[in-house]
Amino acid sequence: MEQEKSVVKKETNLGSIRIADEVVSIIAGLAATEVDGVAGMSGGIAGGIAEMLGRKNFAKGVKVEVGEKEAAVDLFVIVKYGVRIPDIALAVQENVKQAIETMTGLSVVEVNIHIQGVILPEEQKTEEVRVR
Amino acid sequence: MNILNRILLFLLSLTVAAASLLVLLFCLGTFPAPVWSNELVYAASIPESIIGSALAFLISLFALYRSFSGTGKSPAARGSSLIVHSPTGDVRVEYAAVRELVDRAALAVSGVREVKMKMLAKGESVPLQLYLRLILSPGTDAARVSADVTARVRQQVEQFMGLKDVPVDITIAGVSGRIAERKHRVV
Repeated sequence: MEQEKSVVKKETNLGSIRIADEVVSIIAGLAATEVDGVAGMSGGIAGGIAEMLGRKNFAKGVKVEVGEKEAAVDLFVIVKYGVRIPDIALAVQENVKQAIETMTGLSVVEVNIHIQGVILPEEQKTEEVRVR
Repeated sequence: MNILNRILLFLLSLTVAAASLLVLLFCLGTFPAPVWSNELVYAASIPESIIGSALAFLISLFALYRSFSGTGKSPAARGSSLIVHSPTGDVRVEYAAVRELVDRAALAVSGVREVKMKMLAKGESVPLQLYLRLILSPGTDAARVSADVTARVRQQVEQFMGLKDVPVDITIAGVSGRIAERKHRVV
């Protein structure tokens, strides 16, 4: 079985605690989509195919670089039409930073946001109906 | 996919189809073995076979390269606009998002049929510069439309991206009576 990439967070006399990189990605992805104004994450072709096959990918649109104590995050986001992008981006940065620091204890050095697209309300509704 | 790639793909598909059909006929024993061997020896002796095989091989390599190189222009090649640079991180708006905003603004102006956009972004010194090519409907006042489009695009960019006084260069590329298909006319 392929060993997933992880960081040794803590070593105690009882053993070690490892946090997989994917965990940090999922935390960041969920924190980003919680922000009002964010329509979703942009996962590219691979992400789209995985979703078509019915596999939910909570780490879609997230790239993380995880070290022993720090993490850097890149988020590829699609926003709703009508929102002010700098305000949304700031909210996403704060939410993601707080979520990762709270849940993993890692210090987030940077959260870069890449706005990949703008989605209109009727496009959003069509996607919601499809998944219910 | 552009026209050249379509033609190459067509030729490659035709070659593969012909070759697989020949193999199928051979396997089914449609023609006697001596006939096949004679034809193969003949084919191997003529220069056209070498040229054809070499061309097919080169086209296959090209198709292989294209299949791994993504869907054409990468987002990085089209550019992204850096709108926020802070200790917390950077915020970039990719071409597709800017395109959506500009399309909404420009196509809302009466007389504009089609919009083509290029953008230039060089970091903090030039966060965004837009070059629009407009196709107008016949009888439209080009000067009025240009001024309207510029004002609306700047207002949209300022409202949604927080960038003020973005340079917008307008070129009237043509006149057309055809109504361009628009994905969404209303929000």
